[in-house]
Amino acid sequence: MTRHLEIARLGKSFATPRGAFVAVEGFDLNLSDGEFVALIGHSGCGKSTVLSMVAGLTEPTTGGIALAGREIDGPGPDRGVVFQSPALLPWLSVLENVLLGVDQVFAHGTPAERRAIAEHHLHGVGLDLGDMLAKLPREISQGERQRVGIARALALAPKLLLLDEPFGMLDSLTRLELQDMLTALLARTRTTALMVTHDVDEALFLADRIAMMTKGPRARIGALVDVHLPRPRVREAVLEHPDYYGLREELISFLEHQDATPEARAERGLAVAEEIPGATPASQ
Amino acid sequence: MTPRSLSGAGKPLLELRGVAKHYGEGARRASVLSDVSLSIAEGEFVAVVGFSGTGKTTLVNLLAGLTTPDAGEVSLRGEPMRGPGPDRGFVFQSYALLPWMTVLENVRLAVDAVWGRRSRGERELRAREIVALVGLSHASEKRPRELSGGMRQRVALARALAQDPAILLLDEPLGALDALTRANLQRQLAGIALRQRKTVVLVTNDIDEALLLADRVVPLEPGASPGVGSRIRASFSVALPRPRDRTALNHDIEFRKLRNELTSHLLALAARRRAARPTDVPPLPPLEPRLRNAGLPRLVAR
Repeated sequence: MTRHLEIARLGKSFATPRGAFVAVEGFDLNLSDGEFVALIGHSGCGKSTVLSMVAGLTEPTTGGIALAGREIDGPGPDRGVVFQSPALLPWLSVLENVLLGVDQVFAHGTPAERRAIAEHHLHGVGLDLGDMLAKLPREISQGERQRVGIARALALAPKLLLLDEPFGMLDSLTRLELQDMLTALLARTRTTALMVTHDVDEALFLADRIAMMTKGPRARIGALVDVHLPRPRVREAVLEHPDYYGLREELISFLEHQDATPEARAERGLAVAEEIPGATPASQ
Repeated sequence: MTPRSLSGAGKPLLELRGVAKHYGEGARRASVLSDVSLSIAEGEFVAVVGFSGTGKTTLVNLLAGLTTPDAGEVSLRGEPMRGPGPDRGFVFQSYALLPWMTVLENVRLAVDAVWGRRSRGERELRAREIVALVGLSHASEKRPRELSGGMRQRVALARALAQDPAILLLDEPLGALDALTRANLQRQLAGIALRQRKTVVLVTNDIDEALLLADRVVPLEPGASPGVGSRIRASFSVALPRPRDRTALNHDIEFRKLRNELTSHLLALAARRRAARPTDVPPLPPLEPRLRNAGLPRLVAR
């Protein structure tokens, strides 16, 4: 297996008045070229911290990360990042938002070539080039903004796509639509991708492997699951695959086990007297 | 236990017949609903699912009597709808609690509105009962700002229940909550609907939530072309036994089948909406990215 992305003994501590808080410790993960790995875990478990270190936005305390054989040292256009909030520049049009990075990374091309790159990717994420290009972010829907965010990341031909809960702010149906779009898109571009999500169905639909993180502090990978569902992934076929619900259950039980500790319940405000008489018993 | 109603076959409690609704005029005219018909039987739990912007909130407002249709009829117990009333309780996605009142006081307000003739002691007791029903007794003296989103949402639900309405209209009441809090509130909602035999209309975009709670799922389908509002064409009966357990459902063949059918149905609607898109893809020029010279972009305001 070629190691396209190597994450070795990764750790991150934050200084607090009561001493160091170890958020992530001993995190190991390798991605081969073209692979899609989903990182799932509860909110606050440190999955975004890991992604942020791979993006080069946060410096690891221990361990290291290498992409295509070179150690990561700060952010760079070889890694495209898509955040939960699309973070488009509000005063730039859809086209200009994508061109901003394209003009830097393809400065050796002609303006017409750079525009073609931007349009190619905007089309690739399912946007209508006719009336979309000149619109400002506030004039388009949240789902469309997130499509622009993905086009912007892929337009730089990154070696790695990093997705931090990219569909977390969308309604669950728009979410399904964008998952369909993303899996079709990555099947064409063959971009290696690492995605943070807490949505089990999303992880199963998109990923080749799912890394389940333990609850922090000292969060690490608790288990890795191979998702053998055939590609290209088509919604109906995935949902009807005999292994689907078995895999789904494996992930859900892992997450519920992580959440069953008294500390975890207290943190979420799930008080003792939570259940009301006669209601369906808690599924734990 | 068997489902209470399968297909709205009983006498309709709430009914929409050929309802159309638009907003704005002239060039800004936007049709939201076109020819929507829906019958809801007494005691039935109906989930309305649809993509954002398909007019789900408009539909609930029509059922609440908060807005009137341009065409068609809205009726309640066979009579034309005459506006909002205490027989219908609402829960909105934004909690709309009074910030200066405690949990108990927010609920008391609703109790007082419908139980005005009862003694002070009786009303106090009733408010406490309902706060307990949504599992918030331990927080009854807290103010909304001291509560988590899930707890606030439970207060909003308690307030709606305090009116003891025959009909509960829930407009994405759990949309703003994290998955675990959401699952917990879904269990409570299922319990309340089952024990109190309420008629419930739940607007949601979550297929699992709809299947967990409803007797019937009705997709609100976007119009086939611009200028045409949403319609209701299909209805999915959810004949799963109650009480429904999320984990057990995962093994239920009928649940999986319904879940797959509904998901495919909704995605086909979305695909149809995008089908008109032109397909001439601008070809990708054969350029390799150059990373070394790429510093931070210069940002220039337009």
